[in-house]
Amino acid sequence: MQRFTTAAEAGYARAGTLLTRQGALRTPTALLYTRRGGCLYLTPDMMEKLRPQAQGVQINAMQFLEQPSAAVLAKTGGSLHAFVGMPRWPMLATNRDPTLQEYGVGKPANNSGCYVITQSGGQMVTPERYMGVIKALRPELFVAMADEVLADATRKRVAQSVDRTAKWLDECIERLQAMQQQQQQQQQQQQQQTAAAEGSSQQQPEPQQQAASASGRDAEAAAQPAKRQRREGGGGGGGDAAEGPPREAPLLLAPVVGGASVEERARAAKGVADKPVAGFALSGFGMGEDAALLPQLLAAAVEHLPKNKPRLLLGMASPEEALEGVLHGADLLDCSYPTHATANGYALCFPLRMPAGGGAGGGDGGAEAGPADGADDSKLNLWAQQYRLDRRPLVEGCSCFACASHTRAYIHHLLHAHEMLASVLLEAHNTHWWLAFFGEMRGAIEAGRLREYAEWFKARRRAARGLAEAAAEGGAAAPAGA
Amino acid sequence: SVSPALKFQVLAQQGRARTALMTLPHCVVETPVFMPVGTKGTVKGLTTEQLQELDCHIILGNTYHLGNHPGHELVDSMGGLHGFINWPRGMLTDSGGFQMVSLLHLADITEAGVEFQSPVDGSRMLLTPEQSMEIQNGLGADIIMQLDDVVPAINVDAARFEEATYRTTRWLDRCIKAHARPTEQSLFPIVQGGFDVRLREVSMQQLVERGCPGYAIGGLAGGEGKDVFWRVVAQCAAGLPPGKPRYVMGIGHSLDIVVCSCLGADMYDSVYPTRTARFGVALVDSGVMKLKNRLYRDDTRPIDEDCGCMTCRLYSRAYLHGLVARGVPSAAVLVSYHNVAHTQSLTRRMRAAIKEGRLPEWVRAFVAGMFPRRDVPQWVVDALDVAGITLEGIADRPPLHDFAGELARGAYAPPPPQQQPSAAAAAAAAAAAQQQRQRQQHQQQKQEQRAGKRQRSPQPGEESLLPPAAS
Ligand SMILES: [Zn+2]
Ligand SMILES: [Zn+2]
Repeated sequence: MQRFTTAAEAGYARAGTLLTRQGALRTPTALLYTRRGGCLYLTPDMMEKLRPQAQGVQINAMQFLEQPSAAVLAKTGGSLHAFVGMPRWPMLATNRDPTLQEYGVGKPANNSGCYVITQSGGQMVTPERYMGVIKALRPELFVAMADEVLADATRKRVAQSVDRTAKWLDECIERLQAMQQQQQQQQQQQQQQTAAAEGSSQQQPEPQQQAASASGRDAEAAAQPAKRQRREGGGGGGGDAAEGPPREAPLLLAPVVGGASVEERARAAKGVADKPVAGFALSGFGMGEDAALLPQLLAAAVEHLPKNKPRLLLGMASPEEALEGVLHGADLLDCSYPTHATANGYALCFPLRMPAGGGAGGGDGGAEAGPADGADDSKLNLWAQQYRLDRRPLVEGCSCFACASHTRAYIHHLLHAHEMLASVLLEAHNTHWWLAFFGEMRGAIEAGRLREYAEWFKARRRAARGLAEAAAEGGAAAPAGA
Repeated sequence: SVSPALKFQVLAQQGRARTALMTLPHCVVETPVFMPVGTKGTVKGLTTEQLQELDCHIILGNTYHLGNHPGHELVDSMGGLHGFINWPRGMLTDSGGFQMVSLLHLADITEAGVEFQSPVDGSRMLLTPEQSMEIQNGLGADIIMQLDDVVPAINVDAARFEEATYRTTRWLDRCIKAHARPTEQSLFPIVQGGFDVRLREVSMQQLVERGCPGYAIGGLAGGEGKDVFWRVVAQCAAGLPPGKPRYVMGIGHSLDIVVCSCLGADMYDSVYPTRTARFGVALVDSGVMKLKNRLYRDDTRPIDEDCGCMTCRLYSRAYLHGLVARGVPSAAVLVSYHNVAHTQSLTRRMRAAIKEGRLPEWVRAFVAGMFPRRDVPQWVVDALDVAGITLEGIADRPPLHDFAGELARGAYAPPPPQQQPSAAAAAAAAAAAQQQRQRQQHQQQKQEQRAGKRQRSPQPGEESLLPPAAS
């Protein structure tokens, strides 16, 4: 089966469709950012409001090294989805959190694994351990474990990371294949069992475990008679494997590392291009590299990768970088940029559409926010006093929940009052805006106008943004509340 | 004393408990009702759309906080609190006084008002009854509260309680006079009097004379013993007019809500369900569930299998345990969502039980679920006994309160007459209210005459800080 098909191409860029177990992802798109399997502030009802632009979520597999146990996941639908309240969201597991610069702290990786800081302290994670977690979580997609290095790593260290990542990839592939075989055997057994049990009623899942003995109210609560859970999880049946649809093993994306070295990026890409994987991850970006180098580094790798497989790119720190990523063939990106904006009290408002003469007008056309205090061409700083009495939505014409229901003045008040709802509303708007940006890029690719769109976007942003503001881009704003 | 901004229609009554429709400008509220607290213009973490999904009819805003930031003029210019936070249903604001006394160490109460040190610049400031009205008129809630003279429950000075009781009446008169939007906002007086049966009667008599649309029972939920708490509620709920809502301020524990409703109270508010959620504590009928506890690490059941809220539909205790233990912010939202759902479900179930005439059975089952070992606290046994609900067979102890003695001292007015459990009973309720009030006033006078304690109430604006000596 062809997993990834492209409807249109423009240079390296393409508008594609990636089929997953939980439905299709129309690319390019960004996957929602989560921590411990939940958006930072958005509850599942709020996530649903981001559809259809929101199509999938990204999780960090390392956050699940210790909990939940495989046994718990087996009881809640056989994968992470139902456990984290996202039974119908395609899930991509990565080996790091794109919003956290967690590298360069703790111990360096060695040949057997990399160092990860978890709840109970730091620990070394081997590819074997990593694949054990992947097997339990059963995401639709996952990135093999990579040895990512900071942008200022030595040439020797970068080369080592390329070799090490290739070796780890082979281990991951081996274990994935074992998983697939096991899966097939189980399915055959189930089919036989199903045939044997034809006509009988649905199997009850194993009885709920009784809580360990303890005293006090907690124990009372935990020892209530267990009832059948009403869950939306799994394949509709709510139970584990028994009557669910056949589950396929996760799709593996091979990491392409190489740090800030064009040569190493090319070498890494060539090394994995022919591996039996479903796609690729352009890994190790957002590690302090010079943004100006991004086009070269991406091109060096993408040039050697087969066109018929999807590519993931994490860690793009601005709309321009994301655009550059898409121009260089990235299909799946992340939401670390809107997540940072939310944390700093910003509402994204950068223009999404070329002015008339270009595409259709109206809708989430873009902001008319001027370069006044608290606003630049790309985002509003809702902390600024100028929004105290501003009855307008964050962005005029935006169809997100926050803009449809609330004013800038209210969100300004919530920020100053350190109320969590400020972050809820900003996350809703910023994620919506960021996803709309990807929708526009996809539209431009389909219309054969990506080059024009990119030129307009870059020129407009360059003009609107002074050097000083560019320097402040990293986020020198007041800390967000709650 | 019929307010155009509040209509209270008792639908059904059982014992002292009742369920009613309270029609406000923005919402028809079903009572008994719990009002989640949106201190600074938001019930922490929840959107106003979610609050509607959660079946909240009315929420509370704090005048002290909103008056400081963003300020009542701003809120007024943004369409009032309803417009500013985009909440289409009922809203209540407090007077601001209680928050000052409890939050600010340097608050002083004088006849003029509550004097306090500005948290902004340290200057001495004064919140008068008139200013409280001005701020609350600007915020525009459906129900607003008088500025009352709050005495901390732990105070032992009887003279101070006496002073506060009379001053609260004087401040009510100033509030009524200053209230600029009486056809849109209902002003509730607050019964004071500490834990003194006589003072409470005096306070009720004076406030009821003013004919306000509803009444609050104040001075509770401040760390007093449960034994005095329920007695004050029992006395005041019985003594206040039956055709008007009775609001017990600061109550949020499930058991308190159940007991107070059995005693005839209608409205409650507390930050408890949402605050405790932020510490990872979920509310269930059997008590509380501390999700941080390792007990829940592998527990794949929802918080409450019978709840059906979004959190319980989608999440296990094990997942929430993982979020709470790591302080992920969405944990606070998810547990708050459940806790509000739980509290709304609690009052909904009570309303249904009253309508169907099975409140005692429901209460017994509820108490039995919370205390499977029959260790029901004495105060619950006593309060429910007064409410006409026996816990025999459920609690391992009999009622201990000296009912006869307390009755003789006037602690419990007789329960109001049984009403027809029908919506058409509203007119009858109004008549009954009148009768009841007269009977209570009469009884009150007799008691005072007996005790030789008949007093002259200080007049509004009177300079004397203390009422005439009590003995
Ligand atoms: Zn928006
Ligand atoms: Zn629930």
